[in-house]
Amino acid sequence: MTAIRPETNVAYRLADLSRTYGDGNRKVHALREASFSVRSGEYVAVVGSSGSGKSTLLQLLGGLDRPSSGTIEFFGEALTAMSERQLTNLRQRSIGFIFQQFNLIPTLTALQNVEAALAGAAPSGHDAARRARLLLASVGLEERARHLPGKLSGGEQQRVAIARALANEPRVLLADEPTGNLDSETGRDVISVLRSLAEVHGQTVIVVTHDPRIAAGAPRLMHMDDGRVAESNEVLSDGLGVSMG
Amino acid sequence: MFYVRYLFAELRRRWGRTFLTAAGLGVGVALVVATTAFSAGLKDAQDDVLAPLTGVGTDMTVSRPLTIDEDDSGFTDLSEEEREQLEEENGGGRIAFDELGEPGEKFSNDSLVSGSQLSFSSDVIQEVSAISGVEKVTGSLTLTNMHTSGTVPDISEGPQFGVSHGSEGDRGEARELFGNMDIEQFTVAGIDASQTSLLPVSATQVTDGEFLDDSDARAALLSTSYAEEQDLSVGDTIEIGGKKFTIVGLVKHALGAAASDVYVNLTTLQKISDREGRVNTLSVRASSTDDVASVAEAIPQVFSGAEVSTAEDLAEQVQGSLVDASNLVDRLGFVLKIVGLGAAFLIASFLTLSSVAKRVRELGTLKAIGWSQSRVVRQVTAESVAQGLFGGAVGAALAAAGIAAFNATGITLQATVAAAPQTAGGGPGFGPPGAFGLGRASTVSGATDVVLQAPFDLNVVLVAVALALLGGLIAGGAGGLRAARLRPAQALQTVG
Ligand SMILES: Nc1ncnc2c1ncn2[C@@H]1O[C@H](COP(=O)(O)OP(=O)(O)OP(=O)(O)O)[C@@H](O)[C@H]1O
Ligand SMILES: [Mg+2]
Repeated sequence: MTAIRPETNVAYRLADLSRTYGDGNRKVHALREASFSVRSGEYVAVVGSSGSGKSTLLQLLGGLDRPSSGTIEFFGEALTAMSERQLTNLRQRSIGFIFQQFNLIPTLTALQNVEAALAGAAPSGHDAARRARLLLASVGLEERARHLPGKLSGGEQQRVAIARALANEPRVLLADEPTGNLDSETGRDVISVLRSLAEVHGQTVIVVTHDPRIAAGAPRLMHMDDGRVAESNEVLSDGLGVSMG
Repeated sequence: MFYVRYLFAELRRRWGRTFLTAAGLGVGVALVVATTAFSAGLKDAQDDVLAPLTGVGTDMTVSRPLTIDEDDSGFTDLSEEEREQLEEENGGGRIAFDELGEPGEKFSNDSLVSGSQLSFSSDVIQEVSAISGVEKVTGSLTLTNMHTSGTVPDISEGPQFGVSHGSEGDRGEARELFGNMDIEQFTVAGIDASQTSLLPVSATQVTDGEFLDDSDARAALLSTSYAEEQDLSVGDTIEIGGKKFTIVGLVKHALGAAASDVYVNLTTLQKISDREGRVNTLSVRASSTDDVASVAEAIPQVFSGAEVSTAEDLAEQVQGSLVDASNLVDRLGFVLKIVGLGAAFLIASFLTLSSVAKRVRELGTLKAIGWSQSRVVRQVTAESVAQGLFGGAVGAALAAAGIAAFNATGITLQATVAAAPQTAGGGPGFGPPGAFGLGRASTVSGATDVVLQAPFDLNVVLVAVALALLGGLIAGGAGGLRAARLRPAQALQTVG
């Protein structure tokens, strides 16, 4: 199982991580030999043009996909060597995922969507409902607990998704363009909720974004271009500039 | 439980799909249940009709039929002795016009002629009784009473006297031949009234009056249909072979019984027809149903030329809409059931698979937030099983309603027993009246109406629902597994 060594203060260590799709002529190098580390508790923004491989990177970090080559260490554990069962465990307990499309279950209420992440993992039904209610309150949605996603605004939906991602107090939050479907004001609210909650729990956050203001507010910025990852200062020194469009 | 709430949320909030699946499954299940009920109803009806025939499965009848070759060369399977016997018996029925009187004079003639069954000595009864496995035997004599009346024709002028062989519809009805001559006929059976359990009629079938008393030589029993046709009732008299008989009772035939129009005591009929010691039908009862086959086989060995028909043979002669419907259902019912089950199964499978296909992204999300593959499969499977249960309930309700409606309309089907094949026509060498009487020894004994009642069989419902569930289970399991096995990244990229 994923016996995580808590003394490790490196959340991620990537070595020559690559992901290619397809083969032959139509081979796509979505990620090319990425090697970098993310410290525990760090807040990292990833920017890059469409198709540069941001989602690919995030899916590998979240254990949703497997690399073509290279390794990922997650708090000292070889994530890339984990079995399917171990990955399930990891996704359940240690990683919270936030999607651009929110990805809430349409037939479940806001509260039940949060419970879905707790189901099985943690406490019994009653505790799960109470915990889900607390989580909804923490994103300011206790009033909306019984609403179906369809009856919530985009910002509200994404806050439910954040509550869901936080449900099992994961060590890492991965957000793929969490504000991509929101207007900029709502987007900023959502980001601030995300950041403040992560800070409280000391969570590591990696957020992919197109929003230059979100990127600018991040303590660490990484840039992706055609599958290659670079720290933004390196990229800038290369004279390529940071595309924040 | 979260899973249960999720399951019901899916069924309730995607009500359109739920309804569609339930309706599809329902129709399939209803089709199976209704078809089964319908064929069970038909079978019950058929059993009802056949009960009097097959009720005593140990009974059989033995006769010595006449058969005529296609090429009209006569009764070729008869020995010379039998041929003479037949001629002698039917000779009495010949009308010798010149003996009737002068042309133009009124005449009336009564005669008893043999039918298609050759008579034989009642000694055969002892021989057949001796066969192992035979419990009891009784003999009866069935003849046709010909009553001819009119004016003596002038044979030298008129066309040659010729009577075509009477077809079924002519029975008992007066036929005008030359405009001045009538022939009336009916069948009369001489029975041993003491052997009630083996007879084609019994005391329980008496609708009016009483059963034949074997000490009363001048008593006659009429079939209800003949009595009605001739407007006769108990107390009236009837002439048989020129002798007066008193009608003591009316009997209604069981379907398929070898029926006659009139019954009298065997010895009386033998006497007035000049056939003392002769019978033309044996009723044989085997000791057990296991003996029927061997007895049926042994009889022709002691009694050459005998034709044995068992209760089973008789049952095969039942015809009519009941039999047609039942044959149809036998053939179609199976197809309908397969179609129904197949439809239920396919609908369950198809709708489950398509709904799973639309939910791949959702299932990918569940995996991304920590659901294991088996838990996703379990959820999807449980949903489609619940769906199958719901559809099955709808189907059971539909079927129950359909069956109730069907039973309420009370559809009536008819069963008839065909006459024994008419084996003789106007063969050469026989006088017309004799030929006329041939083939009339046993007649159609009528028709029975049966109201169809389709029983509602809970077991069938359970089987059909179980199959719908199985469809849901397999499709849900397979579809769920296929979706859940995808890497979450792949599932999440699925548009839907
Ligand atoms: N399943 C796949 N099969 C084949 N190619 C893929 C697949 N997923 C992604 N790609 C390709 O890999 C490259 C990187 O895709 P990715 O989704 O990681 O980009 P992205 O930076 O997230 O883009 P966007 O900003 O539009 O979301 C693209 O060229 C894309 O077409
Ligand atoms: Mg992307």
